[in-house]
Amino acid sequence: MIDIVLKGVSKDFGKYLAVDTLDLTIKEHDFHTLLGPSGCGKTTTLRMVAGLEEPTSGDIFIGKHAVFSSKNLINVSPAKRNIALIFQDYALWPHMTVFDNIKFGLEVLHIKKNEVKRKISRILENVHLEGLEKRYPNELSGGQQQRVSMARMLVIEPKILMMDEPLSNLDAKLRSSMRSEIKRLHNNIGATTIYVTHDQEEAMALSDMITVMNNGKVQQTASPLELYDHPENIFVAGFVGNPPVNLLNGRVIKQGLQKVLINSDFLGQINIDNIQNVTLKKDQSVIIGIRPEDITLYSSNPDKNSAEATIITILPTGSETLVEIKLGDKIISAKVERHNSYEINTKVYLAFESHSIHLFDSESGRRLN
Amino acid sequence: MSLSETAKRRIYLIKQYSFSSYQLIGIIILALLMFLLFTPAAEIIRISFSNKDAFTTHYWSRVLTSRLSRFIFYRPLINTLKLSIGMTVFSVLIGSLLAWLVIRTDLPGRKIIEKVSIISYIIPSWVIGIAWITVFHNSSFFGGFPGLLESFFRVKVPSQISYGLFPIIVVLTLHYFPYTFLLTASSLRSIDSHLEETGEILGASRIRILRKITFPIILPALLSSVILTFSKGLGTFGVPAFLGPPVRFNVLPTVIFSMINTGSLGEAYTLAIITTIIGILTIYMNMKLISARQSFATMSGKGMRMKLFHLGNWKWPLFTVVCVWIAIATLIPLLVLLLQSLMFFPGNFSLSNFTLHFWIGKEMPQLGDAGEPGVLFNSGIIRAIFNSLHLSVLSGLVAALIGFLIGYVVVKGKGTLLSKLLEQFSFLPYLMPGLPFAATYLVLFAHRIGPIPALYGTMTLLVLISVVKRLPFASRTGINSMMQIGKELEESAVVLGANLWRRFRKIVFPLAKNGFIAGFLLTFITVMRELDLIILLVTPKTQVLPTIIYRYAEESVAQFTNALALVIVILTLVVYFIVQKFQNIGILGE
Repeated sequence: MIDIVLKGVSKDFGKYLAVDTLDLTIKEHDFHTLLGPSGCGKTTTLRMVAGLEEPTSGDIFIGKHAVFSSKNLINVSPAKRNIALIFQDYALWPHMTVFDNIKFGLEVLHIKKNEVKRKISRILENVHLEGLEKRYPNELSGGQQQRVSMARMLVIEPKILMMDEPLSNLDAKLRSSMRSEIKRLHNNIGATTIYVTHDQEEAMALSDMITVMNNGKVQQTASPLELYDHPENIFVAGFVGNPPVNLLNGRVIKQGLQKVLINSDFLGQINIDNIQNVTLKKDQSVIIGIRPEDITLYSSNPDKNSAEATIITILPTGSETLVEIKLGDKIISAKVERHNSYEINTKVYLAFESHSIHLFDSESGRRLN
Repeated sequence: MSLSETAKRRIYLIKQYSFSSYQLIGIIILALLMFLLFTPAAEIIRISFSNKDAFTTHYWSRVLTSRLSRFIFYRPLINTLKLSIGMTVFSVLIGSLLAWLVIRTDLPGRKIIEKVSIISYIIPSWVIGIAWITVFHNSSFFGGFPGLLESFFRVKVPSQISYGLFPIIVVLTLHYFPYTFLLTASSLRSIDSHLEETGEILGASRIRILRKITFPIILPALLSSVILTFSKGLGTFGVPAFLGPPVRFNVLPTVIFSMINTGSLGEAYTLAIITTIIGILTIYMNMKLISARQSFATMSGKGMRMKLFHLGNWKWPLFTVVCVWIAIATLIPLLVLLLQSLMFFPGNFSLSNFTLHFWIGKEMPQLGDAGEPGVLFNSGIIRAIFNSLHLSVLSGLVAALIGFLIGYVVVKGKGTLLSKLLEQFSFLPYLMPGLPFAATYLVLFAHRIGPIPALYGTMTLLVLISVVKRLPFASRTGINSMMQIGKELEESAVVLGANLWRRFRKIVFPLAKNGFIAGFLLTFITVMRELDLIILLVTPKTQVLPTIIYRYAEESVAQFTNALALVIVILTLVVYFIVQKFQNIGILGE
């Protein structure tokens, strides 16, 4: 097994703590994404695994071997970690042709000339760049450049492939086609892949596992759907999902066995099942999260308990329509069908299933159900 | 702890605290720089305070408080300040006005004017000085052959116009206005018209916009120009050495030079220390001023739109004025030199007097100094040409290489102490006025120091001081070109397993090549015409063009002086254009 394991890894840049005692396991062959807002420490984590940045403390293992250990005084150089790293801005050498760019890593390995040629033509075929060997990077489109930068790293047949926001410099259309390309390449070569991005949709689409990070700490590690359905805290709930989850304040009325009755601002009383093993006090403040697609809107009151709201904006996206509504003094959003008859400034009534609700402790931010 | 663990720990500690290769390069350069800057400084301070190994304040009191002080210190100091202030005021005024005309108005021929005005920076200032003498010399006051004005128009040129403060300021302004021009032009170019248009929409008048928006934005560039020009004035030797002596106009560098030549070393070094301190103080004062305002300097480079100011009826009169000014700064001095070098007897315009003798003539011993073989067949001159090329090419290469290495260490180690120290120290030579700085090297390398043999009288010493003095520019160029190389470009190679040498060879150097060439050119051009820095250090064997010209000028052989001044300009321009061409080909070929 060649898992990548980080144990208690920290990195501070002077006063600023970029990564805070991070524990993380990345399974062999997985496509594992580090997801988080800019400055959350995801790129620093990636660079530490690559060996471009030296952790302040902690241990990093690739397979059985420690590649870094502050206790045991080990620091293996990037070249010996058998990794490949693809940068956001491609980092193609502008003074070399496509062929020379890809050849560089093979030369370092002292591979024979005809073998080099064979490997390069095979990898170019693999990334659909046949016939572009003689071009210089500035003669290629953004998508082609990104593919060259992948070919350059893949040609040395790394066991671990790392990508640092590789798609964020591309326009929207190219991004989605490169997304499937990356997934295909991953399936073909089977290298363990660590992928860094701030784009949650990209992370969801590509990954086997996602680690959400914020302020240098791991927030949650889970599969994409698990992450979406069971966010461990308010941060993850808010970060994953577009449009973001609606958050409303509430108070505990009473707690039963694995159940709690809460009084929510503007939504009235809600009964929530499957409460985790925690004791909640009466009047304790909680936060209720409902995803926009879990809200149903009615133009007439379905039953007299439904909350009443006013439509403010209607935003059709084509495949569906987003409706922003004013509930008391809060603005929340709901996803509705693309063909609908809503009009702004009209009244609607909200309905939702109580099991679709995410309940969080407002102090710690932890999930309660 | 078991033995093997102790051993392991030791190895790790060695790894931790030993330096990676690039840091080692940085430390070596830093150590060399400190040696080359501080030992001479310490040595001249020691000499200025000692008389045969005993402590004395004799030289200091002689310079500052004796009966002689007025002549060797106070008067030259006042002259130096007058000269520096004068040339700064005019250079900055003319340079910034020209920049505004060229960048922000519809002046005809703007693009060409911009290119041509840089040529006057390539022509050495003292060459313009020699041309000045050729035109304005007045033989009835100063003897010798008549100047062009005198012989052609029979005008008696007043002595204040022939020599002294006025011509020195004019000549230095002609040479140094491109500093301001270039700096202000790039600053003006960075102003998005939107900034001004916003003011216009808000109802501000044109004058108000210029005063409140445009002027504050270019202020940092103007202040930098003031510093650059003023500090050049403090150390300038060539022009005052040519245009000062006939009217006994002395500045601090010329006094230091003549004192060293007459053996008054103690006084000379005392003056050198004072000049250096004044130089450092002014620059630091000005830097404080700038850094407070620097934040204005950066503007977004995107979506620039330039709205040109319409000059209307002023268009052609202004065009004429600009053309005349540029001609005076570039073409006319060269033509004057050419003309004079073709006349057998200066001032005689009859056709039979024109000759190529001073270019290709044979030796004529009956003429004395003027009877030497023509420039192109004169073994002494040929050697000087060879020495000049040797010195400037070698200095250019070495300075560009060290600048490149400094750039690498500074950019790669960004934020570390080494990086900061190296950046600051490589700027230090800028603060040292040229001639006094050379005086320190005269002392230091007159005899053997440890493993370093006595360098006085060798080409090595000339290369050494030229490189050190030009390092601020070379390292600035190096740092700038390194900053343009994203760190990912090198990291990709690290990940692929390339060592430092391979990364340098294959990635860093090819990418920084243009910066290297720029560093080379900058050094080459300035060393080619360098007089202030090396006049104290040359010996008959190591004569270079500028110093040999100075010798001919002292002996009043005007035709040789003029012909050689032309040679220097032509050589510089030729190399400049060849390298530029070569560089362009290099870029296109990729």
